[in-house]
Amino acid sequence: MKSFRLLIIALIFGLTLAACTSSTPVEPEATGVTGTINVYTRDASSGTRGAFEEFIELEDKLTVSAIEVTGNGDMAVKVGEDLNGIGYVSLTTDFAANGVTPLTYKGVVASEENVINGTYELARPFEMVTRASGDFASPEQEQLVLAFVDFLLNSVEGREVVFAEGGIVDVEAGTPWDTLKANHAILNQDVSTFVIKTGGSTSVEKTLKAALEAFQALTNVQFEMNHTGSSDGFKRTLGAEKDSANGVDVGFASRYFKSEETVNLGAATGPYAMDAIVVVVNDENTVLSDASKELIFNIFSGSVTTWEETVE
Amino acid sequence: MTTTLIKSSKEKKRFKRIQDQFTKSMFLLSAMISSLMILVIILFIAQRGLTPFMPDYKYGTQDLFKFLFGMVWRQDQAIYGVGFIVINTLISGFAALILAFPIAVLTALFSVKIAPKKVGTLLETTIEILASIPSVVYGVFAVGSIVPMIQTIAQGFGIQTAGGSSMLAVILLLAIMILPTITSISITAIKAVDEDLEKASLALGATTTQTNFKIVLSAAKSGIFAGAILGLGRAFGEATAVSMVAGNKMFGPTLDFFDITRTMTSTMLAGLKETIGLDYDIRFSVGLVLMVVILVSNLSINLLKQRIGKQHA
Repeated sequence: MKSFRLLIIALIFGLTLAACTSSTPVEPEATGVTGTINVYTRDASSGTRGAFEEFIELEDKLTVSAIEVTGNGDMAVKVGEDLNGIGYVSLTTDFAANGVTPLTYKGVVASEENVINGTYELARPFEMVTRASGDFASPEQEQLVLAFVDFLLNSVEGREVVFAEGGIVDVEAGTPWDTLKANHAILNQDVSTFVIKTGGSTSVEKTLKAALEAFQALTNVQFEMNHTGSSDGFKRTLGAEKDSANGVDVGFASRYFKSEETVNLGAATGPYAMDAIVVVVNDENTVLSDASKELIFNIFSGSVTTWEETVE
Repeated sequence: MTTTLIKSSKEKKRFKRIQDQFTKSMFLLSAMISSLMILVIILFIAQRGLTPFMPDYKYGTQDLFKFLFGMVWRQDQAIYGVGFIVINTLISGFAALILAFPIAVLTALFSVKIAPKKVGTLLETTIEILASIPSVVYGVFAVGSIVPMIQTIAQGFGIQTAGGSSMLAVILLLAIMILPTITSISITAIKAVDEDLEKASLALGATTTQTNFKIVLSAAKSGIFAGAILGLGRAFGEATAVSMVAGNKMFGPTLDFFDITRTMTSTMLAGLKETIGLDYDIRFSVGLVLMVVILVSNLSINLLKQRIGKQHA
């Protein structure tokens, strides 16, 4: 009786152990992927999801059967494990290591080069504009803001921190800050009482904060970020709200400025980085290699639900 | 001479009494602090969690009925229904308990009563180590091994899964996570059983196995159920590891073991650091519901324990 019970217990242990080791994945069939498309998405507070849905015009239309993942890395891992999966990640993701294949968008390969030259369309610029020359709180404030803009746009150090936070920018082409610094006489005096105010797009916050912190470490200047959305970037530097309590020194937009936003009136303007999103599928998936906006919209909104439908 | 002696002994007694009183009030104070913490937490969560249902809520008052019984959770469309999430949480928690409980109790019984001393101690140490592994490590383990395993099994049945992320993955993960908790508390409970009881049983002619199952286990019942309650609490409360394998479905309830699911904790955690407004406040409401769920489950386990006690008496 006792040995019988021992045997049962040993069996239970054996089963649990066996369950832990039998994890060799089944080799997928060479004929391609069939069946339901598993749509992966980020949680609703993700900036990447916001940008993706904006590109595809998917806001509020995402299929209810989408699978929510917890982050960019999680997305890459999950799609890499799911033969039927499709998802989207930022361009800085290591595709091969996660077992996912990036899709070309309208025939253009997702690469930093194509993002910077503007041919890859699942991308957007992080645009910047300052107040008009002479419209700052003081001439010193203006010189200081222009020094920061120079740091953000042109210095190696500024581009490095922006790149580290996921902004796409050519770090190598920058100029060392030590060289640029010489053009800004204001930095020879104590600027620790000055406050640079920024506003506009919330998507730029991560990269901008990193740049502001790097600039603060070099100059001791203070900063104040109050970001509410891309449309406020122009409004609070050159537009209707520039002289109200909401006025800021530098405004940002995570899209190209519109023609009615007359940013050329600002003392300085231009994009400081690009943001790009790549649609990915499992690397065993040979059904899709290129995606059109329409197809991605149909898949993510749930009107195309099987891989068979995507090739028709 | 004698009077002073008496007086000093009286004073000694008084001093002792004061000392006693002081110690007592110190204990009372610490008890008050720890119970106050619960009150503070509940009050804080309730204060934030109830605001979305107040008439003057600044992001638009939510319908409490729709929140409690809703079957869709979509932040992008501002639809917050926690009903199916409660059901999912209950299913995965109790299923994990059903899987882990017998294994845990038998392991405890084996390591205390049946196994040789050395093997028993070795087992106990192993279980203690298991209990102290952080949940995110369990999560990584689940993503790396349980999830692919489920994908393989599902493919064997011809079922397509979301890469293995499924309710079954959540259940297996939770069962593994709560196993050491239940086991180590059961071990303590079984060790505390009076040896005289066992000796009496053996003397009456019962076999060791009969004694182990009928005497030892029923005498240790209280402790074992305490272990089950703690284990269930951990199963309901686990967030990090669960959200890594659950798939976070937007509607439900999930009744298919191979389908993806969403639990209350994974809902609270997803994107918490990046969100504001209603989407932030509503997570406190979910927390409130979760506390109620845990309370009700604990009460029902206690009821079950009393029932089982009656059967044996």
